[in-house]
Amino acid sequence: MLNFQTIMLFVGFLMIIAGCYCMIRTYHMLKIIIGIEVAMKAVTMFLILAGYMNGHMGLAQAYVITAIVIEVIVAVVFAGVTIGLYKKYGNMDIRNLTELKG
Amino acid sequence: MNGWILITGILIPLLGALLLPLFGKLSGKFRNIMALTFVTTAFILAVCALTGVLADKPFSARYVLPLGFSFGFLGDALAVFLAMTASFVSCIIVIYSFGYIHEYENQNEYYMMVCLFVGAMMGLVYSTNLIAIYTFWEISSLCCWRLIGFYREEITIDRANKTFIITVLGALIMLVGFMGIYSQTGTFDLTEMKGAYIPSWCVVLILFGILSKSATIPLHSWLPDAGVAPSPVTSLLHAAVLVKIGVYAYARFFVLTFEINEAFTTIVPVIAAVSALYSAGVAFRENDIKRVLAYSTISQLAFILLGLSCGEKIGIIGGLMYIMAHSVAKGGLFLCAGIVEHNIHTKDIRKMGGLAKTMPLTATAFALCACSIMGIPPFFGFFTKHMVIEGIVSSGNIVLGVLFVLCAVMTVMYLIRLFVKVFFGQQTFSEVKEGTPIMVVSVLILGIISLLLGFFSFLPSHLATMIWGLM
Amino acid sequence: MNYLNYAGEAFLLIPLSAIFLNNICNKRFIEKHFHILTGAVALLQMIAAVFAFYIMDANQMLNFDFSVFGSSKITGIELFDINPVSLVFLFCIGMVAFVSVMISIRTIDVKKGSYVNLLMTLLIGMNGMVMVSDLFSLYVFLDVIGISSFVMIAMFRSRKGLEGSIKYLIISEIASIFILMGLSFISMKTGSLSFKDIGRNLLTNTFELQTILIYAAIILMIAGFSIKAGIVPFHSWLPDAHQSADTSISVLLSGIVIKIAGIYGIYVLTNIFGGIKAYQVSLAGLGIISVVVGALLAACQSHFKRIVAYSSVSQMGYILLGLSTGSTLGIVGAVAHVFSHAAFKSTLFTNAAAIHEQTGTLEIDEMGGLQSRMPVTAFSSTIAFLSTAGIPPFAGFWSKLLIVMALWGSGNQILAGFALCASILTSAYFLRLQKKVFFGKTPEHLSSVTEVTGSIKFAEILLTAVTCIVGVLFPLIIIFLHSRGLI
Repeated sequence: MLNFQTIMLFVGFLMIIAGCYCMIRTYHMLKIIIGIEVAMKAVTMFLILAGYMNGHMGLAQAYVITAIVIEVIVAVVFAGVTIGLYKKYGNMDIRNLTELKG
Repeated sequence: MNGWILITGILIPLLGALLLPLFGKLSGKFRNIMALTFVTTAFILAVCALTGVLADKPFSARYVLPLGFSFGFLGDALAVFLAMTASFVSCIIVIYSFGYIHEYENQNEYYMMVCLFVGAMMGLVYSTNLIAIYTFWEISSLCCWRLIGFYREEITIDRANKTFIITVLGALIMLVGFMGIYSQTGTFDLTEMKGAYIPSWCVVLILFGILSKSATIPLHSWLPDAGVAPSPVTSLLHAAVLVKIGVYAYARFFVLTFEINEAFTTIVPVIAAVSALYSAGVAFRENDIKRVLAYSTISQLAFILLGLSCGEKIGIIGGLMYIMAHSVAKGGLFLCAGIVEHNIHTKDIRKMGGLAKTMPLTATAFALCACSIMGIPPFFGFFTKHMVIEGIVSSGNIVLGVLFVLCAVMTVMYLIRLFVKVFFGQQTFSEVKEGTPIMVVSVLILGIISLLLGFFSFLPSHLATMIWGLM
Repeated sequence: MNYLNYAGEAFLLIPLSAIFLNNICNKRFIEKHFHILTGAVALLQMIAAVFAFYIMDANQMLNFDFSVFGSSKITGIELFDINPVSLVFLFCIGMVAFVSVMISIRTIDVKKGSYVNLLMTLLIGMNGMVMVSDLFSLYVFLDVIGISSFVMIAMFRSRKGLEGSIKYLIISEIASIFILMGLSFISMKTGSLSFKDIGRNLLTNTFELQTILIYAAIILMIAGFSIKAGIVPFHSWLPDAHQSADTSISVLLSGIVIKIAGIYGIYVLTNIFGGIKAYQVSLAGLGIISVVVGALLAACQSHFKRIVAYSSVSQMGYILLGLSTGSTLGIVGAVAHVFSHAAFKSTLFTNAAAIHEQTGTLEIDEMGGLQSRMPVTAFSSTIAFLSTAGIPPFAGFWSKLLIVMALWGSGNQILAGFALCASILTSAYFLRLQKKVFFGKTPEHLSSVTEVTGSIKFAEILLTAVTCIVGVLFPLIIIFLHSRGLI
């Protein structure tokens, strides 16, 4: 039971839990994107693992590269929005965001 | 295959209604005349359809669609009977509106909705498909929402919303019942499922829709509240179109088409009895002229429902004829109430009195219509009420018969109370004039017709007997 | 078949060339004529969709594979694929984009060039998503949609816009993580992510762990796409994002983006996993909760666009109910509801734009009596509300009826009855909206309001006509579908 695949799956789940914990626990916007990135890395690892398990490593590489590109773009957009908020509020605390309620 | 007459009878008021706002932009008078034309056309085409019924070749048109949908129209005796009654009373109401409504805003919307309402009624009675019936049913709810909310005040809007919510909820529950029938029979077409036995839970769900539309207890409360609308509108709701939809649906589904559990010939009369007695009692306590009449409507509708549900020939014929008697007489009563309200600007009967001197013609028309509702011979109402009670007695339910006789007595009492309070006694408004000629003439027509129908009651009774023959 | 190939390529290449055109041309020239460019793209998209549908129908084709730029075939990544369902989606995309352009003429005054770029990117994302034939490309286009929506919401850099954008971004990225994780699990079992291969390989029973992972993947992907579609309990971002964006952008988000990003994803999953009982039950459960909770939440909002946004949550529930049946009738009903929802929700957002332009506010407590001052807006919003509430004879009634019939046929009678009766909640919150906005007393500061003119009025009339005409002529659509053996 305790083979390579299960260990990698387990590590991946731990990373996702760590990322989600990071997102929930912190109020700083940059730390939230770090949490998202950690979880994304785990998912990227799952993609490689899938390639390893089904024997299509080439395909997995293509997937991973695409996923990384998307991730970077998301991080950039997130950073842009964060800078906008920083200019409005003077800090990066998400507890400031109380304009929309209901 | 003269189905095009029926389809034209539906489409002219429906599509014409959509043109009325455009006509209204050109000229108000032209729009009024066109509205009357559209409604009258519906009446004339219904009379044309009557020839088909009398020749025993009812007009029909049918286009079958997949999934059990269909466009089916059938002008049988019941449909033509209802269509003639409704469109005739609507004609009178439209004529009356020329006098009543001309000083208010939103007239374009008013005439459009009245016309649409009549079109929906025509469509509802001619259709033989459950989905089409549901469609026209909801169009009528929609019209009634806009018409009750005619004055743009807070309270009228709330009342209109209440009406819409109750009737639409009832209709949705009814649609669930239709789905149940559909899953049994695989079709929505009424002509294909004649004589089909439907399970009791479907009947209960459909009864929800019927009771909500015909304002029977416990879903009645919107009808008295709808009295905030202009009088021609309330008249239209009570007499011509809206509440009759419920009883029509009862007749069409449970009398003519489906076989239902025997128990319903007891349950529905009991509901009707409760409704009749309760609302007759409330009518004594109310001081708003329109609310008294509204509770009277609820009470009289229970008579119709009783006649239709008792399962005896004489009761069903009586119930059907009562639809006509009530339409004409209650329409007249509300229009009279409208004249009174229009001239003295109050609806509280405690503030009225002695109006018979200043408004003799209105008082006469009111008396004629009230006599018909009370069931004084030789008015039409007498014969029909008699037949309904005879029907329930001959079905063996003496207790209910006694209760309904009691209810009839109460009807006499509260209508006399209303008449005395409004038209006799101390004269409180001295400078009051009679209503405009067009309004007075229209109420007099309705009053005289209720009297005449009493002498010629064999005409509608012939038609009602033919409806019985459809079973 | 050449024509179909051109049409399919057009869906991707026309927006792409519009981006080039937008950035090459003189800036002032583009700012002045941006609506012609974008409007033409949207119109071309609608025409191409109708044209392709006609050709596919004439040749009795159910799907058509094609490639863009002659890209060669790699194992596991299939080419693009169009089928009648995706053409309906493509038509809806074109329609809502057209409405968005109509609104933007009045509401967007600055950054017109960015608006064109982002709208075209969004179009590429959505068109790509409905045309791809494997899960990974689906994910890529999903993120193209996501990223362009984040930027569009935050485009004007107001506090509200940035806040709505960041909420959407965080929750949406979690959804992306779920979806990507789910598809990596599926790929562990099947070795390929193309829709056809997944269905074929899913049933082969090889390895214990991977079968468990398939179920995990189903849960993760339902959750991911539900977040994107704003289904309860994943809806919290939706009203915030839709309220804070400019109206020309919220019409896109509410009218089509949640349906492409969320519902189309679930539709793809239904094609793959539709036969699994647990999948059907979970969709039905999410659907009915969404219908009820969305409507109840809409009833206690005080912002016009928030009410309409929550109404979207509720309507997405109906679409999920349709998809949960897994039957053809249910899917037809769901797709029909996608179309009618696109029509009536765009109408409501157009009304919001009209009211905002004329009165400067969207708080319903500050409004009243607008019916006599803005008759066209009032009329079109009434029709849209009736269509939303499923009152015949408007388009919304028929799609809802088909969904309920499919649910009833699949043995969920009580659920079907409940879903039908839940329409009354829709009526309730729209009656409240109508009463506060269009009826009642007019406050003094609104006494000089007049009817909106120009493109917004045109869009209102056009969409109302679409809702009415489709509703009245829906029996013809039923006849057409029946003649093609679909229902």
